Amino acid sequence: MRLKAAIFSSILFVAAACGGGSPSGGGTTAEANAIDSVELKAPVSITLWHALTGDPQKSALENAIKQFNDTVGKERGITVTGLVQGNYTQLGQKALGAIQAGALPDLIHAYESNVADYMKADVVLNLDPYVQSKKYGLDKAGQDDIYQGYYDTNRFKQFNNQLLSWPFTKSLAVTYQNDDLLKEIGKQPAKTWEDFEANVKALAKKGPDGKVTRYGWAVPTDASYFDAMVYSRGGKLMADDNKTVAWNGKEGLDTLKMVDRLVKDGSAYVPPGFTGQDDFAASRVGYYMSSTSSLPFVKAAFKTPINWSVVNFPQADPAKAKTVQFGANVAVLKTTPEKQLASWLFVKWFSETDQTASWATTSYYMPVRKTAADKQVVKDFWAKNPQSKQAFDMIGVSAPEPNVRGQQDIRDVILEMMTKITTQKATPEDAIKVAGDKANRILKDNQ
Amino acid sequence: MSPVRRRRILIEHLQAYLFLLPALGLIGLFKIFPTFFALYISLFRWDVVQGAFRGLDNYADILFANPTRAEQFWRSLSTTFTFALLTVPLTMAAALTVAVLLFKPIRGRSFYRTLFYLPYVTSLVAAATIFSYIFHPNFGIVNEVLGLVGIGPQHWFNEPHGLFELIFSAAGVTLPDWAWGPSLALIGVAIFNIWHFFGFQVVIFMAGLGNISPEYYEAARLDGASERQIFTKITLPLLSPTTFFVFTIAMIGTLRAFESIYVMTNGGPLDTTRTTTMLIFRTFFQQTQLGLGSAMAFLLTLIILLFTLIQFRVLGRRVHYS
Repeated sequence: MRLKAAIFSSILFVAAACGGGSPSGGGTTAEANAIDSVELKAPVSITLWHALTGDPQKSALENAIKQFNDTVGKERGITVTGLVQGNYTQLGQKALGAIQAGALPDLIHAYESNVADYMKADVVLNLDPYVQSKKYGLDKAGQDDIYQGYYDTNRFKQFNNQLLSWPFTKSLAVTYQNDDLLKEIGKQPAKTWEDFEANVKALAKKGPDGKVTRYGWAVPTDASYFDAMVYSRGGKLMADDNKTVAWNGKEGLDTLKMVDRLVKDGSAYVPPGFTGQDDFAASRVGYYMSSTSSLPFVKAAFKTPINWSVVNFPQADPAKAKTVQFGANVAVLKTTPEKQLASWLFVKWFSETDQTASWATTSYYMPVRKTAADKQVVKDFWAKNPQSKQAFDMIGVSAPEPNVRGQQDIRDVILEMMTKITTQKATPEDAIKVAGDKANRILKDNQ
Repeated sequence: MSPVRRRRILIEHLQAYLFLLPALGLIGLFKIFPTFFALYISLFRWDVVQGAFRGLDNYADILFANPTRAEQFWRSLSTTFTFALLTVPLTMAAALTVAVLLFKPIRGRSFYRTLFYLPYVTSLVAAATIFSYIFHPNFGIVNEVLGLVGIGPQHWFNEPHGLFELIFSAAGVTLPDWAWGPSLALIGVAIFNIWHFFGFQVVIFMAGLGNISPEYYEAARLDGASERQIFTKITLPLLSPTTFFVFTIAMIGTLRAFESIYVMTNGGPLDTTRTTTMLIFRTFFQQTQLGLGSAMAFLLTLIILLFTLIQFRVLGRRVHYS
C-alpha cells in the first residue's frame, strides 16, 4: 500500500514538474490526468473524523453519510465511516497525536489553522488536481456554482496557493436583532454604525433602582467579530503582502472607540460564555452577535416567541457589504491513490446541489452552492425559518479571515485587546497600538 | 534451603509478578511510556513534527533565555500558586468543619453527607456552565445577593482587575500594580473549585475522624476538658495524618487544575487565570510547539515534586500517627 502511494506520489511529482499551471490555482493538467488513471477496483473504506458532537448537526451528518453509502458508495464500492472525535479542540489534539503515530484518518474536519498545522507534517492532499480531473472532477459550471469565498478560505498562500481543504460546515458572523424591541423604541434597523450606536443606547433600560434591566448590545470579544466589524467599516485585516496586519488602522480604532463608549455608558456588556444567546432570547438584550450556526440554539432558547431577524453588521458602504465567513472545512489526507480518490468522491458528492441543499435544512449550516436556493426543500425550510434565508443572502458578501501561520496567536492578541477595552484596562489608542505591534511580531516570527 | 522449597518460593514470586503484569502493562503503556516520550519531545524543536535536537534549550527558553516565554511561564506559575493559596486552605477549613459537624449523631446525617458529596460527582463541565449563570455579571444571583448588602454588580469571570484594586479604587485609592491581588475572575474559579472538591475532603476527614478511638474523648471529658480543648488537643493532632494527606492531595490537584479554568475563563481575561497547565495547553495544542509544551510540563512536574518533598519534610514531622 505504501509502495503504491509512493509510486503515485512520484507520478504526481513528475507530472507537476512537467505540466502547465491550471487557471484556478495549484493543480496541473498532468496531475489531473494522473488522477484520471486511478480506478476503484476493490472496495474502499474511508474514515472521516469530525467534531459535530451534538444534534441537529451530528444526526444530519450521519444521515448524509448513510445516504452516500447506500447510493454512490454502493455503486463504486466506497464505505464512509464518520467518527466523532469530540469538539474542535479535542479533534485537533487527536489529530496531532495521530500525526505522531502515523495513524491519521482519510478525511478530517478542520479549520484553516488546523490545516496549516497538518501541512507542517505534509499530510494534507492538494485538491486542485481532483477538482480539475476530467473523470472525477467538477465541470466549469459546477466550480462556478460554489461561492468564491469558499475557495478563497481553502486556498493557502503560504503553501503555494494550493487548495488544501473543501467547504464543509460553513456559517457566517451575523447580528441577531430583536425586532420587537426596536419597534418598542421606535427605531429602524441600523444601516450604519452611527445608527447602531444610537439604537443600542435607546435599547438600554434601567429599573427604578438604577440597575440595568436591559442592554442594547451583547459585545462579542472574540477576534472574528472584531474582524467582521473592521470589514464592515471598509477595512482590511492583512496588508497586501501578508507580512503585517491591517486591522490596526482607522477602522479598527473606530470599532474599539465605539465599544469603549457603549460599555462605559452602560448600554452594552460582555456576556460570559454562551449566556448571550439566553439573554437575547429573554429580550434582555437587543443585539447579539454570533455565528449562523447558533440559529438552532437561539431558537431553542426562546421561552416566549418574539419577532427577530438575522441581519448583517452595519456597513460603511452598503454597496460593498462584507462580513466574516465562519465555519470549518474538510481536508483529504494523504493515503493511497484509491482512498484519496474515494475521499474526494465523497467530498464532491457532499457538496453537490441536492446534498448541500438538504444539509442546509437539516444542520442549519450554509449551503456551499448558489443553486441550492432553487431547491424546493430549501424553499420550504426558509418558509418556516426565515432567519436562515436572511443568513443565506449574506453568503455572497462573506469573506474569510486570514489563514496565515500565527493567526491563532493573533486571534488571542485581538481578544486581549477587546478585553482591555471592555474592562477599561487601556484606551482604544493604546490597546490597538500594543496589539498591532504584538501581532506583527507574531507574523514576523512565523515567516 | 531445600531445592523444593526454593522452587516453591520462586514459583510464588513468579505468580505474584504475573498477577502484577496486566496492571504494570497498562501503567507502563499509558503512564510511563508517554512520560518518557514527553521528556524526549522536550529535547527537540517539535512543531507538529520532530525538528532539530535542542538539548536543554527549550527549558532555558522557558526559564530565562526567551523573554516572552519566560515572562509567560513565571507569571503562570505565580497565578498557579495564588490559585492554590486561594483554594486549598479554604476548602480544607470548610471540609473539616462540616466533617466534624456531620460526625456528631445528628438527624439526617446520611442526607447531608450525600448532599455535600454531590458536587464532587457532578460533571465538572456542566457545573462550571451553571456557575457562569450564577456569576453572570448582570443577571446572576450572586450579584443580586451582593446588591442586597450594597455591593455593586461585579464582572466575575470577565473581570481582570485585582480584588484589592477593586476594593481600594471604590474608596478612591490607587494601589501600585504589585498590590492589586488576584483577579476577580481567578477568585470566581477558586470559589467554584472549593465548591466542587470540598465534598470529597469531607468524606476523607470523616474517615479520619472515625479512626480516632472514642476512649480518648471519654478520658478527656472525665478529666473535665472543654469541647474546644478536646478539638485542639485530641481531634486535630490525631487527625493530622488525614489532614496531611488531604493537604498533599489538594495541593497537587490544585497545581494541576485545568478543566474548571478551561471551561470558565479559558485562561482569560487578560491571562489573569492562565495557570501553568493552561499555558502548557496553549503552547502544546494551540501553538503546536510540542517541544516547548513538553518542557513546560516537565518543569511543572518537577516543581510539584519539589513542593511535595518540602511538604513532607516540613509538615511530615508534625504528623502524629498514634
